[in-house]
Amino acid sequence: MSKNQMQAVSEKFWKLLEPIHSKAEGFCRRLAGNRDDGDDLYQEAILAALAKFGTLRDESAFKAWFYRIVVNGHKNHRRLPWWRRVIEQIGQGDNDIGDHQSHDPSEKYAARRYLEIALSALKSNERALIVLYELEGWPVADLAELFGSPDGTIKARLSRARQKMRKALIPLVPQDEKNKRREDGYELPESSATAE
Amino acid sequence: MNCRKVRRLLNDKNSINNLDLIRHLKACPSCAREASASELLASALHQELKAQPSPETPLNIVRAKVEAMSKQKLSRENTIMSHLILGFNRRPRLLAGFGLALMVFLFVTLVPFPYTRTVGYAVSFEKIGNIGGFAPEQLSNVLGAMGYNDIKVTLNGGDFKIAGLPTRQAAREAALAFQKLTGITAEPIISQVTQRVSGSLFAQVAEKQRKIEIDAAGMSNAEIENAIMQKLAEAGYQAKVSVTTDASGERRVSLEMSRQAGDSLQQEQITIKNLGNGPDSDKIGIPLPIQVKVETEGKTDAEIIQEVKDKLAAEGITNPEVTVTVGPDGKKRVEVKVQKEEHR
Repeated sequence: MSKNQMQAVSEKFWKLLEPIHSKAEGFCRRLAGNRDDGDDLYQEAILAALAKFGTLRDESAFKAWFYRIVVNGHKNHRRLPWWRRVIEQIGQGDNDIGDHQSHDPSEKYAARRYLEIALSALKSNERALIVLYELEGWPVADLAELFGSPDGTIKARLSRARQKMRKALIPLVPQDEKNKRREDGYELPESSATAE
Repeated sequence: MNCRKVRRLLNDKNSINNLDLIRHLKACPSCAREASASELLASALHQELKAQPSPETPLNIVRAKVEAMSKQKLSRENTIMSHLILGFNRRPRLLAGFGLALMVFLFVTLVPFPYTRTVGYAVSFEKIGNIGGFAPEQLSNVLGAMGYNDIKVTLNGGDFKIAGLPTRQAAREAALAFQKLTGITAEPIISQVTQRVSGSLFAQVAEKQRKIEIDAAGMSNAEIENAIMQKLAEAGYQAKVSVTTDASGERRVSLEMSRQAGDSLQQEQITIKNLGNGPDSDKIGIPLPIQVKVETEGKTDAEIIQEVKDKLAAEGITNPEVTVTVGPDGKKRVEVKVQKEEHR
């Protein structure tokens, strides 16, 4: 491929990325757990996508194709040798999901900690599924296309992932709240409902 | 309603007003804890959705960073080391396999473990009965004269045992000496004397290596053959040795040897090279054997010496030192010493 052709392909790639840039970057930050790692993941994904851009036949499927590269990149990163993961964890502070600008740090910080603990109980694919469905608002049909699985399988995976997240949060349920539930009887709060 | 169904329903927002579910949660503390965790999770997700996202990085900045990364990656990939690191990073299982294989190799070769080592040989003759006036000291003296000083001879009833023999060949010789001295024809039983020792595989291999050094300077092929055979026999090997000299003056030793009778023969080709420092130092500086026949009957020593010198000169050997001596048997011996040439 000549230099001009390579330049043209690169331009085309960046043009296709532009409309999904903001969402994709946000997804990477949420998937990685913090802004810095998310930005690294995003840039690595772009690098990998640029190298593989020639294999993309249908440009209309660019979004799903790019998100698949992001998910695979995240999966590969989590497969790093244990010593490299440890080194990276030492280097980073507390995970902070998307590093949002917060107005009320105490309550929101606690909520984010809970979310990060819940998400850390998931495998890479499950984490991507939950982030895309619960936080990015992707419909099940789009997730089915992205992961190459039927709708039913995606719903089952979502359910299993939620169950895992719940289990991870059980030790964090305040003790007095548990006792209160036993004494006063359970009353489901409205916020406990999750979208399905 | 059972707990399993409740836990499934906790994922479903439509079950929020399910009376059966609420009733179960009142009664079951375990499911109630899960419901609380579910509430925590929903709250955390809600907060996350409400939170203002951090500002996005402009695409042109991302592009500049990616292009810089791409250039850096290209330059990094050009070194052999980076190829190796990249290859191993892509195949972590291969790296783990290499590491494991290396560890196993080091463990097997360097970590000592117990093994059995042959430290000597013993010869025994069982139920040989009365051997007359034979005293064990006689055999000790004979074997001592043969160079085996640390042997132990025991006579226990009808059994006779010679221990402390260094090699199998020594054991054979001792058995033969015993048979000659006593006149008995019983078959000797040669057994190995083993010792349990601790050592690494590396140490075992090093111990089993045998080095035979022979100074071949001035020796004929037959003499070299004998010297090699003698040294191998001392080490307990039976060997057939054949030494030949090729046209370039290089000697080749062909060796067929076995550890003991019945072993499969191992054949080895050995090349002897001179260790000198001259330009042709890898060639042996010894001329091919030259046969010179001189009739000594009725000739004086001086005449014999002169005739030998003349015949050697005809073969190209100058300035030989020839001496004639008379042996105890009255036969004349002619000794010829030739200066080794520096360059041939």
